[in-house]
Amino acid sequence: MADLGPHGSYILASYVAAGVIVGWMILSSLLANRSAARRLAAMETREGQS
Amino acid sequence: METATKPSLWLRLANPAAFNTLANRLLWPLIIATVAAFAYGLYGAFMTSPADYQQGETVRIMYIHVPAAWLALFVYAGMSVSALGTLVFRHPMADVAQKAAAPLGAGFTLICLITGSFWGKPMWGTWWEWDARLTSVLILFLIYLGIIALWRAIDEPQRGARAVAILTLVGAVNLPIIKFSVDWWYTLHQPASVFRMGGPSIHKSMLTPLFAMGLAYLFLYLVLLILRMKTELMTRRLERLQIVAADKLAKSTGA
Repeated sequence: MADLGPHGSYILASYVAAGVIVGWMILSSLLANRSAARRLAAMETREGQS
Repeated sequence: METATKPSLWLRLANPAAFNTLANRLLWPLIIATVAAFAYGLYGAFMTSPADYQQGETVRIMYIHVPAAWLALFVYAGMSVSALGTLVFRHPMADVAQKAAAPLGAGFTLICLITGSFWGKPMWGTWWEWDARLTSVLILFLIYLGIIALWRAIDEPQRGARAVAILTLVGAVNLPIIKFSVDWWYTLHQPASVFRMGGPSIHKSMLTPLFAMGLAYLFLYLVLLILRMKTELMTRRLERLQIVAADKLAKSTGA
């Protein structure tokens, strides 16, 4: 691991910020997909029964 | 005698089922490519690439900042093509792609703005400067937010798609302004050093991890775009089923 020098905190903070935003993009996309799949499956089951 | 011609990929993708089949085939290879590119890019960014002779170690912010800027512009350019697909070609998947891409474009632009600020403070002595490059990227971020808000404000999908497509095409004028702002105006931001006439001015030892991180962001974008497009298709199917169910209920109760 490289010694990040006197501005190491700025470097780390930028990577953490990027990681948080990328994590949010992944998580929100996954949760929305799961939620839509669950609601659609429930609706199709209900429609199939009626 | 008639011969059946196979429809083009463009036409075949108009069918959500065909899109889902292709998406399912692409998803896992793209996920693996994303993880591999991030691993290679981050290893290069911290382990193999040297410190800059002027900026020292701070140059390592470049590996997450510059590819985020590329993606911020690339996603918007893709959305502009989708907007044409909606307005001119009436392709049914064009507005699905555009709606799915906007939050991702906003995310990459936010990464660009925040990491740029963390880079600017130790190098320029300021978190923010109202210069042409920084301001035009901030405007891009606000346009992304405007597009997301407009999608949410209009309930009827076709009207919403047309309104968003028009706004997207109007906002596309900002792309060349961002790209050439460092040439047209005096700015704190450094001029282009990768995509420029005469080739990159960055050494290969830095360029390789930079491109690897660019590919990592690109693959990540494609994975999330596919996922969000599949979500949007499911949501639209759900809405259609809810309308059909409500119609049935209204008929059965004689309302």
